[in-house]
Amino acid sequence: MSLGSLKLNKGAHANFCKRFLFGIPGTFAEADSSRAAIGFYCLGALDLTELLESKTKVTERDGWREWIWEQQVRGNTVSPSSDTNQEYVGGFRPGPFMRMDEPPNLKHSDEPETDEPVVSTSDISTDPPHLIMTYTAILSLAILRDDFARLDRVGVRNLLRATQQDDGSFTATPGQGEADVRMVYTAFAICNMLDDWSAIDVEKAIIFIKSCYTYEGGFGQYAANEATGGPTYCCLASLRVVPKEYASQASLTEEQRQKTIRWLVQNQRSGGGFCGRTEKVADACYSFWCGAALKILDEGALIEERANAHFLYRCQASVGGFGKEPDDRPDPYHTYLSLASLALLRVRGDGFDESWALPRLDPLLNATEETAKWAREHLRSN
Amino acid sequence: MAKTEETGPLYAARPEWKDITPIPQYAENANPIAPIFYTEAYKDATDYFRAVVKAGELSPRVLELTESVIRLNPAHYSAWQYRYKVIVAINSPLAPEHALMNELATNHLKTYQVWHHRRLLLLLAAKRLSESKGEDKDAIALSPETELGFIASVLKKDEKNYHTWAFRQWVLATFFSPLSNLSSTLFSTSPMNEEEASAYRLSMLDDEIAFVESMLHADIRNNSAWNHRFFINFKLGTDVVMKSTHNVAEFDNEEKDIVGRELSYTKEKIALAPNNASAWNYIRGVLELAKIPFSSLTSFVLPYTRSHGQEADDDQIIDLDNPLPSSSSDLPAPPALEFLADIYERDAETLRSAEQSEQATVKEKLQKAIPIWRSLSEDHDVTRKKYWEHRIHIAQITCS
Ligand SMILES: [Zn+2]
Repeated sequence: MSLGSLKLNKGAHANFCKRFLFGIPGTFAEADSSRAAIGFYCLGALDLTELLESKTKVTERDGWREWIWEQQVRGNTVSPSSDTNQEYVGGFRPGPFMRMDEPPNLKHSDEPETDEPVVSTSDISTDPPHLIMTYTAILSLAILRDDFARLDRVGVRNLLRATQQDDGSFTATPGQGEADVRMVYTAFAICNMLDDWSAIDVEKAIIFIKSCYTYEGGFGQYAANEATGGPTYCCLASLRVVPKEYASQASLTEEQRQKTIRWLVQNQRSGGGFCGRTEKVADACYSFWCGAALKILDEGALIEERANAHFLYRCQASVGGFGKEPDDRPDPYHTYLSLASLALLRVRGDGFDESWALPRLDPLLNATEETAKWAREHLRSN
Repeated sequence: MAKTEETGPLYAARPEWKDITPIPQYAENANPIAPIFYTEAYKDATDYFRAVVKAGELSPRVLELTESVIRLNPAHYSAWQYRYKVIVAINSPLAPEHALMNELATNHLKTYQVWHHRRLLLLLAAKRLSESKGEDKDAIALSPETELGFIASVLKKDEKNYHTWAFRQWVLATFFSPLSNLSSTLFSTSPMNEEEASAYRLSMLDDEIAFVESMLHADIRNNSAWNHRFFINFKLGTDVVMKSTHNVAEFDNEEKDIVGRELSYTKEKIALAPNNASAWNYIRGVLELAKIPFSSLTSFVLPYTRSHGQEADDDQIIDLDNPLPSSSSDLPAPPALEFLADIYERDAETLRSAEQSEQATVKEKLQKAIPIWRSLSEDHDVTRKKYWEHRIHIAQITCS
């Protein structure tokens, strides 16, 4: 491969993601319960390629914002069985797949008008808000530079409260489903953006995170599970976004830190990409999860970023988008994370031309620095 | 009649569903994000699903409907949750549900919901057994032992599936741990006293180690199996990890024996494949857990750090404590070089923290590590060049 010829095909990646924003084939029905996340990967990729404004129309972007706001819910009480807890929960659902109320234009016109924020009521046992989707919806709105005037902050705080478990972990939906470090991370990221940690037990959550640390130096998804790149990112980012008063509880010992660095560095394979677990093959998404984890530990300089970029270069599909490995079918998830990795582990010169220039990324929130700044400035409760 | 291969005729065409008015998906605005061009079958099944959920219907036919939705979208967590609700409400038998789950789990190994539903079923089976004082024969079909057998068969097909290993750990921690308030003995047909139950539990741990060994025999680089081995040895019986992290107590003899056994086992596996990072990570983990200095393995490690010439050969007297690299090994092995440098660095660190140590000996130790890191950065592990240079840099700061 001759140097000087490497191109990051930003335009094609942006087009690929734009196509997904406009529609997904019916064979991907599994996307039904995670549309807000797919929206985030696509909008995030458009944000990273800096092509959001030129590739999409104002009316489209406004429409997407409206759609996301349609997913904000005002659910009934946390525990219907107990009379003492009458708090409702807010947050966002992944999409309208379980929504059963009538759209506003079909409602009877004799209903009284109110000044309340537009949030639909829902039965949280059948159409619950979802923690991961709430995080992705908020970041998507920040990418679209929404002013967040309509955000029901009390509802979001109540969702955080309703999803935290006795062991400090979080479920995705109130009172149901599995609990692991992915939801801890999204809860922490939301608290960080709101600059409000009052709804959750931070200390317990930190203890839970630490219980997921493994003998290899990475973190598993749940206590005693195998160390993996994604959970390791979630844990390290969580430990770093906490407010100062928790900093000492949230810090790793120096030995633990060194072991984590060693394990993360070990995951970079000879082809330049990263694997997620020891002795596995490289997969594009781990270029972000492991790379960002090292960045969070302030050890980004230990990565061979040019080799990483070479691997990701090979994961680009000719139709646009990135697959998990070279010649694999592209998808929005690997596309966004590949671009995010390249925005963090920057390469320029010696074969990597102008096309590799990307905006700076905030490794803790997983959004461009500008978008992260926008989110923090507009979410902070006054 | 319109029908789909997977789920049979459309619900709209089934006379027994005539009483239900389907609820179409909420009309989205003009610019929805990532709208899905639903297949006719999916639209039909979910329209009916929304309708029964809204009506709150909990009946056997809803089991069929949720199965259809799940087959069309195994990540439909609301369908899973509602299905479970129906099972509880109508006291649906668990054995057929479990059989269906065996099929769905095998086809959708990477779906979170498949595994979460199984957990709920096992817990429900345990509940029904304890409430019926063991009389609920249907629930016995979901015994944790049967479950371990099923998981083993799944892992034979997808040896590193994360969800499957995590689920296995959950089954063991829930039904075979002295720390859990549930026990697999709930499912046993003949009652056990406490002593028998504890002996049985220990025998299960032995079986589990044998299972891990069979997985490692098939693929010595299966890190999921190594991780599971660590879990069985140091988390499940007693929480040795907790003990070590918080220095709460000395290891008892049994724990010391396990540590010794694990060190021997891992050395043998390293001898077979000296570049296997999983085995090296494991042996490091065991040493750190037991607070045994890395230097105790110096004579084992040395032959792996040299070029060819010291491999095992049939005529040699075999030193069981220090198995030699197999003759086909690619030497020197980078993980062994790294380990040897770590021995020197850790020795230097120990000397430095000891009161009367001399600066000169600390330096001497570190000076031995530096050329090893250099050989890794320049020859044996150039992918991590920056990392090895970083290690050299840190050592040089300490030396100056
Ligand atoms: Zn991936």
